[in-house]
This record gives sequence, structure tokens and C-alpha cells, in this order.
Amino acid sequence: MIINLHRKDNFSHTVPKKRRMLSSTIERKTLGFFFLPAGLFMVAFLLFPLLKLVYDSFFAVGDNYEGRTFIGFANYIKAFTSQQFQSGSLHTLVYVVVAVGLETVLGLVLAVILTNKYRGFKAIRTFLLSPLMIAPLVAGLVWKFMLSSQFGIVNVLLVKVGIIQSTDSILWLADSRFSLLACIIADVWLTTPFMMLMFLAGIQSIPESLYESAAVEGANKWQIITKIILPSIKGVLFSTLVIRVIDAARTFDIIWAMTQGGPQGSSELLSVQIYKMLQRYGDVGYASAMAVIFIIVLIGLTLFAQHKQNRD
Amino acid sequence: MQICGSVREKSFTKLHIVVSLKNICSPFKLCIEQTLKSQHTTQYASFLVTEKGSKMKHKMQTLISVVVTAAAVLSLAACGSSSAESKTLSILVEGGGPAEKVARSNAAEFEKETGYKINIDTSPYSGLYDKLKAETDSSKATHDLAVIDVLWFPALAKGLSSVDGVLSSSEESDLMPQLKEGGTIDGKLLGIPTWTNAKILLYRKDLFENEANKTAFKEQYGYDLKVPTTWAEYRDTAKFFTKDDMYGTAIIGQTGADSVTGWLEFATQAGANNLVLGKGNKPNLGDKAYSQALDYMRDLVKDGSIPADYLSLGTSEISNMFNQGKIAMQLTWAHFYLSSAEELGDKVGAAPMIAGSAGVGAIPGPWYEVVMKNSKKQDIAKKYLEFMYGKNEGYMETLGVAARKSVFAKYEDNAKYAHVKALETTLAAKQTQNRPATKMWTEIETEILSPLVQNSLKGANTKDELSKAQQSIEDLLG
Amino acid sequence: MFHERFGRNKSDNFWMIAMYVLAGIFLLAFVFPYLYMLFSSFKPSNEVISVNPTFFPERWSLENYRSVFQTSDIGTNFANSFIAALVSTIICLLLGSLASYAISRTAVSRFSNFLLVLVLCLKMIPMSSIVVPIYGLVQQFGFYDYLPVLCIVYAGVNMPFVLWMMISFFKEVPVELDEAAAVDGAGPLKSFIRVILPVVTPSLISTGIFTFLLAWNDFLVALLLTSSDAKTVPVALSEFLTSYNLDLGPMTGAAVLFSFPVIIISFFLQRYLVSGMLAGSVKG
Repeated sequence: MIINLHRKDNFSHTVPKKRRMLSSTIERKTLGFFFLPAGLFMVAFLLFPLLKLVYDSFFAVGDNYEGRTFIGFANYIKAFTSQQFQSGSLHTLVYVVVAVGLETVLGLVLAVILTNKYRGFKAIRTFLLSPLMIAPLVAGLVWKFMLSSQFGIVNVLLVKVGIIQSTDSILWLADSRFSLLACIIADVWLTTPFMMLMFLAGIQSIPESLYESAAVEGANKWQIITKIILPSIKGVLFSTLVIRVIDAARTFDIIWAMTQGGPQGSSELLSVQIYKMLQRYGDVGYASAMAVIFIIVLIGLTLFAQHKQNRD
Repeated sequence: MQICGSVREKSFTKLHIVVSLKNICSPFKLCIEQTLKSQHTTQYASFLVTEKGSKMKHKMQTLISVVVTAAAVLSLAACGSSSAESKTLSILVEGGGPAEKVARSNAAEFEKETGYKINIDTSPYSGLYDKLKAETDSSKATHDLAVIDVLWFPALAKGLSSVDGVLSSSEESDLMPQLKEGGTIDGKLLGIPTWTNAKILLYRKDLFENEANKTAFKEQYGYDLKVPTTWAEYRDTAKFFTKDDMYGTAIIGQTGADSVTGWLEFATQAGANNLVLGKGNKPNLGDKAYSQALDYMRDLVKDGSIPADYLSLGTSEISNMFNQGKIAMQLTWAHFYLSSAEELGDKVGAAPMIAGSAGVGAIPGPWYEVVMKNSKKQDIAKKYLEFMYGKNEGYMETLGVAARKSVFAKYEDNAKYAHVKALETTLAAKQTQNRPATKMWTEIETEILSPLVQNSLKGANTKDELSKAQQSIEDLLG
Repeated sequence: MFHERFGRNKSDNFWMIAMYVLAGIFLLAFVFPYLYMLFSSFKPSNEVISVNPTFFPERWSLENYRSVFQTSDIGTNFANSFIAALVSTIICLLLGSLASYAISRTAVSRFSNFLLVLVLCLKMIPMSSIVVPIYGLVQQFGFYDYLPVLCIVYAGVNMPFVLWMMISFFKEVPVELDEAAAVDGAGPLKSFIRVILPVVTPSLISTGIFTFLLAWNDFLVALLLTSSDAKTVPVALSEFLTSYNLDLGPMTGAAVLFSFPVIIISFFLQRYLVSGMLAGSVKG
């Protein structure tokens, strides 16, 4: 991504094997030392809470219990059999698939458009970054009021354009069919610019020579996009996708500001459920079990994706 | 910053690299210098110029020691900052709310009286509970005092000190009804009330006094137009005013506690007692008062007397619509009267909560000032409670509600505070009662009852929904 | 390739017009909410949430900005947000690049893979499930509402993001560079600092910007860890919305102000954000 190299096999080198070398220049101890400082930071604020989560998930612990009782996998069984956890998982899945899908497609389209070096496109790129400047919480609030059918400008505009009959035609936040979509819209607005940036970076690392040879062969624009650009940014696409999927699954601020999971539980993601269970209702054991399941599923997905990526 | 590790091939096996020190990126350098305390700079310099991997270990140690030192320096500074707090009381209140204003305006006086400085921490509503909850669960006090919602008592009880005896019996008898009971858990009073509140009826006086409306109403409904006092009148009036881009009233359907309170108020009016959790902590949703309340709300929906997006409207939104002339009547927390009067002037009137078959009924929404159990300054904190109880009028001035009968009495004939009388009447009503004080209440309310209300309003079978909720609550309580 | 002028041939013209139209549509859609917020902040506060919403203010007023400065300690909050975001970003980049360099160079070994998976695990944790334990930890040590600790916590929770990004960047750097440095007698640390870092600086900066934004825009952590001295802007923003009123005016004003520093930063670092990521620093 950073360097457009000529093909790697220009160099043929043999490095003498040293003891406990993990690569040509780094030995095991060095890796440990290099990782340690960053690791220390993560231990306190991530690893410790994570271990606590795992530990707590095997106990009946929290406000409603006296002390802590070891109950094995009971919390996990409770989660898997709970109607709420299932619908929360489904909502999370829908949210991730739809939001990340839209963001990827829009981000790609935008990146391809802005690759053109026409007059004014640099400025457009700058303006497109404006959602990045807004905190998710604020974005959630602003969208909440823009999509409201009483105070919202979105429905007013849709009526003006003639897409809907009256401002009550689509109750974005009050209709359980649309509430999740409303949150997705806000999420897409908020993070498409990030995707666009990553893809732009990827596209710009494509060596000019590829385009030149394509031009010689008389390829048209569409062929250039599909045959050169898309294959070249596969790596960037993949790592960006993984990051986004994880982040979208963990979304909290937007939902909390817009719908608090309602109406009728229609926009309740697992992150919201976990927060409520842990914070509001004090069932620490059960909330921890939910969080652990959530983390395991995400890791499984990521490793699976990486495995496929490495195979290709 | 331009990079220039220019690599030139000398031969196939050896590359020669030219890198000048200048090119080490400056933010990196900058922060190294920041992290390093002066005694380390020499080592830093050495670790840039040392040679060969043999000194590797030494360099790594240096690097780690730098990080550790930085952390240590930070923590030392922290210890330094947290030790000078002997003569301060720290209090946590909701940011932007009346508790903050009243605490600020009286802090100087308290300091003059006692020598104790009041340090006011603010947090948004949700953060307030989260922090106090975490403080309760740990054994260390960050705050000495807090102002809390009555709903949080059960969950926070084990972290609060008893405040029995802070108020004299004459001061205690000056409390508005239900306040003492609401702050008492297991026979101990855990907080001194700051204000009480309940929903009352705010209406557009000008519309009710309009002659054309009077004639038309009489024609349609066969009786005189007046401020409604019963379910039937309220429904008729709401229907009547729903015209010309205006709704007669609104229902709070927003996900969360607000919608449940709205429904339970109607239930008290229909005769429900021991709300939701009856005798022996058994849910009593089979009581017909609950289904009557739901049916009544559904009638309002069916009449079209309320905005279509009621499932996303909370009290603030509805109040806002009322102030902008979109709604003719609203059942809302008494304190909204002040902001409505500011917007609408004398067009707004206040009346007590409406009555169902069992009379007027409402649910108080009081707040309390509490002392944290882990606080090392119990005595002075309690002194502060007593001091603030004397300043109760401040809440009336900023919010329009208070906790003391004497404060209410002082304001009840004040034209600017037209809601005070209505609130007194509502609070004194026989059916007015607190929500059940149980740790599980928040969960019952948010996870079971709020969806119940929303589903019922959306047309689900109320009987089925109620029995499903009954079952869920029983399961939850084990 | 993508820089033809208008009028070379028909298909190019068509392409160019299509690009402009599309770019215009996207621009409108994406800038709209921000502009709506911007214009709302200049409305009188009782018109911000109106039942007849308009895009432009009917009367321009600075009322919201005035009340932001009168009712809150917004200056301090700004400074806190900025320091917390900046310091945590610097720590993240400094330590994160070191760690990710080492991992990227040893990708084949089991130990390195273990670390990678560990970082992944930490990246997956939903913030909503760990802010309370973090608060408990911080509160136990008496560091509540203390800015340096906020910096450290942000550095900790954003570290996995930095590692994830940086590992993929470092993988792009040819290992021949390290090897050449080793041949010249530099140890791993020296060759990292002198050879590798300069090469990845642009991507370091772009990662830095995103890391900065993560801390800058965070709400949950700051909500629990701060209350007055170290309060950040997002928490202060949420305090404009109390249960006593619905006054979005001051909040829009503060949010607009809050976005300015980031706009300025990203304006100046634009080239790093995109083209800078890819400085063709190594010419073989």
C-alpha cells in the first residue's frame, strides 16, 4: 500500500539462520520487547476487563444475587435460549450486512469517481469528509431530529419532491419496520467517508504503468475499473472491511441516541443489550456471557475471512 | 516531511542505505522528548548512536524504563492532585438540571458557614446512574453526595447512608405527600427530598375560551366545553381539537420509562393499587385496571387525536409541539408549565391530572439528595443536606417544583406558577402512588412493560400482551 | 490515466459529465446533514426543533453560541478533548508502530500469530461491556476525573485499531530494507527508527488522524471517567439535553465548534490522508 515495489523477486538473498530467529532480522526476544510497551497499555484496559468478562460469565453474579456462585455454562445456555438474545443477534447481523455493504459499495463508487483528477474534485473530497468531524453521539441526535416526522426536515423534503404523500407516510423512528434502517442510514452517512479514504489510498498506490499498458491495449474505462482497480485494491478492501464489520457490530452511540433500541425492540443490537444488562439491570454474569459469545463470533468470522484471504 | 531512504543498488547482494538523522519523523522525535524526563535524554541520545545488536538488550531496557518512568511520573502527579481535598465536599448532580443550578447558587454560603468548599461534578442523566452504581459496587467513594432519581434507590441502597435524624420532626412534617415513603428502603430513610413532581394537565386556555369553539363543541357533544376532568371528557375534547393541523393531545410512546409511566397513570385512575407488583411481590397485571388503561390509550390512537409517530415521542418532544401550537392539551410533568408559559404567555393553563373511574391518580417523580456510604465526611455531608433543605425554595424558582409544603403554599397563589395548585391537588389524590421499589424495576419497565405498551398501542391483543408480561415478570423474579 | 481534459473524444466527455453529476449528487447527500446542523446553530434556539423545519434560518442569530459560552465551561472541555486525543494518539503511534513492525516482520512464527490473534480479540470487545470495569479500576486508584489517565485509557483502548492498521502497512514495506540495514550493522531498533519509520511516516500520519478521531469523538469512556476537571466535549454536549427541556440549539452550536479543529487538521493533512499514504519512497 505504501510503496509500489517492483516485483519482490528482484532480490535473491539468503540469510544465515540464527538461533531463535523469527525472521531474517528479528529474534523472538526482540519481538517480545517491541510488543511489550504497547501490550502493557492493552493489558490494563482491555485484557484485564476481557478476562474479567470471561471469568464473570461462569458465575451468577450481580445485583440480584448474593455473592457469586459458580454456575458453569448456565449463563450461556440462558443466552442461547433467550428470545431477546436471538433477535438482538439477528438485528446485529442485519445491521452489519446492510450498513457495511452499503458503505463498501458507496465508498468504492466515490473512490473511483474521485480518482478522476477533474477540476474541483479535490474540494469535493474535502467536503465529503464532513461526517468524519461529527461525534457518533451527535450524529445520532442530529439524524434523530432530521428523521422525526414532527420536526424532521427529511420527510418535509421527501414530500416536496413528491416521493411520499405526507410527513406521516414514513415514520422512520416510530415504525418498527424502519427504525433499524434509520440507524443504518446514519451509520452509512457517518462512515462511508472513512471507506472512501481507504479505497482512495489503495487506488492511488496502483502503479501508473498498469494504466499505461491498459491504454495501449485499448481498454475502456469500465474495463480499467473492473480489471485493474478492483483486483489491485483487494488487500485494502479486505482489511478495511474487517475493521468496519467489527466496528459496525459494536455500534452503540448511534442507536442509543436515536432509538434506545426501540420501538418494540426493533433496533436493539447486541451492544445495546449488553450495556443495558450490565449497567441498568446489574446482571453481570449474564451480560458477560453475552459479550463473550459476541466476541467469539466476531473472532471466528475474522479468522475465517483471513484464512480465505491467505488462501487466495 | 519528505522521506528519503533512497536505496541504491551497489550490487545484487548488498544494499547501501543512506538515511540522515534529520529524517526521523519529527512527531516521533517530539513525543520521545515529551515522554522523556530530563535525566533520560542522555540515554535517549545514546540509544540513537549506539551500535550493533550487542547493545540491543540495553536499548530495550532503556525504552521500557522510559515507558515505565512516564507512567510513574503520571501516577505521582495524580497522587499529588488527589491529596489536597480535606476541606471539600464533592457532589454529583445532573448537568444542566435544577440540582446543578441550586447547588451552585448556594455553594458560597455553605463555605462561609462551615469552611467546606463544595465541589460540584456534573454528568448527564444516564452517566449519573452509571457512576453512582459503580461507586456503590466498589469500596471507594469518589463523591460524598449526589442528587438522584427516586427510581435508583433500590439499586443504590447498599451504597447510601441512612439520613434518619437529619431533619427535625417539624421539618419532616413539612414534606409533600409520598416523599418520605419514596425515599425509605427497608425502614431507613436514605435521602432528603429535593423536589417532587407529577404529571398534570396543561392546556391551551385561549382555545377553550374561544366562543366559536364553545358553540361547535356544544353542538357536537351535547355539553359545554370545559377543561376536562374525566376520561370521557378528555377523549371528547381531544377529538374535538384535532383539526387544522393541530392534535387534541399526545401519548408518550417512546421506548423506555416514559411510556410505562404514562400507562400506569391511567391504570391508577382506573383503580390499580400496588402498581404491577402486588402483595407478596407477585405481579398483578391480571387486574382489569391495566387493560382498561391500555384500551383507553388505544381509543385515543383510534380517534386519531394524537400524532401518528407517537412511538417516538417523549415528554420533551410533546412539550415542544405543545409550545409550537401543534397540540391543544398534554398530560405532562408539572415543571413544563414554566417553559410553556415562557413560549405561549397567558395562552397556557394548568389543571390537575384527569380522573378515571377511581378518581384522580398520578405517579410522583421525586428526586432526593443522598450521602454515599463510603464517604469519609458523613457528618459534614449530613449538615449540608440540612442546609440544602433550608434552601428548598431554590428548586421552585428554577424548576417550578419543590419538596416542602411551605414552599408550595408560598407559591400556590402566584400567577406565574399556575401549575403549583394543580400539582398539589394531583399529589394529594387518593390514587396517586409511587412505582414499586424493587431492584428489578428498571428491567421490568424497559424490557417487559415498555414493549407491552408499544405493542398494545400498535394493535396487539391487550389481554394476550398482559398475560405474556405477567409471565415474563414472574420468570424474572424467579 | 484519469486526467483527460474535456473535449478529447465523445466517450471521454460522457464519462466526465457522468462523473461530475455523480460527484454532485454524493456531495449534496453527504454534506446536507452537516450543513443542516451548521445552519440550525444560527437559528434562534426555539426554532432549532420546529414543527415546520426549514433548512436556512429565518432569522440569523448567535443566541446558541452565546448560551454555549454562558452555560458551560466549553473552553476547558475543548482543551481536555484536544489533549486527550493528541496525547493518546502519540502514545498509540509510538508504541503501536513498534509492536506492529515486529509482528509484521515475524508473521510466520507462532508467537507472532498468537499476539496477532490476541490483538484481534481485544479489538472485538464491545466498549459498552468494559467501560464499567475500566471505571472501577480507575476509581479504585483515585484517578477519577484526571486527564492524564483519560489519555492513557484512550491509548489503551485504541491500540488494537492502530496495530491492525499499521501491521498491514508494514507488511507492504519490503523486508530487504531491514536486511540491508542489518548488513550495515544496525540492530532491529536502530533500523526500525532510522530506516523503516521514515518510509511509513505518511501512513503513520493517516492512522494517527483516525486514532485521533476515535478519541476525539468518544462518548462512553469519557462519560464515566470524567466529571468536571477532565470533562470532554461530547459529554458536555450531552448535558445540553436534560430531562427538563428539549433545547438542541446550544448543542448544535457546540457541535459545530467541536468540528472545526478536526476540519482544520484534516485540511492541512489532506495529502497525508490519501496520497500521502502512498509516498513512493522506495525507487528500486
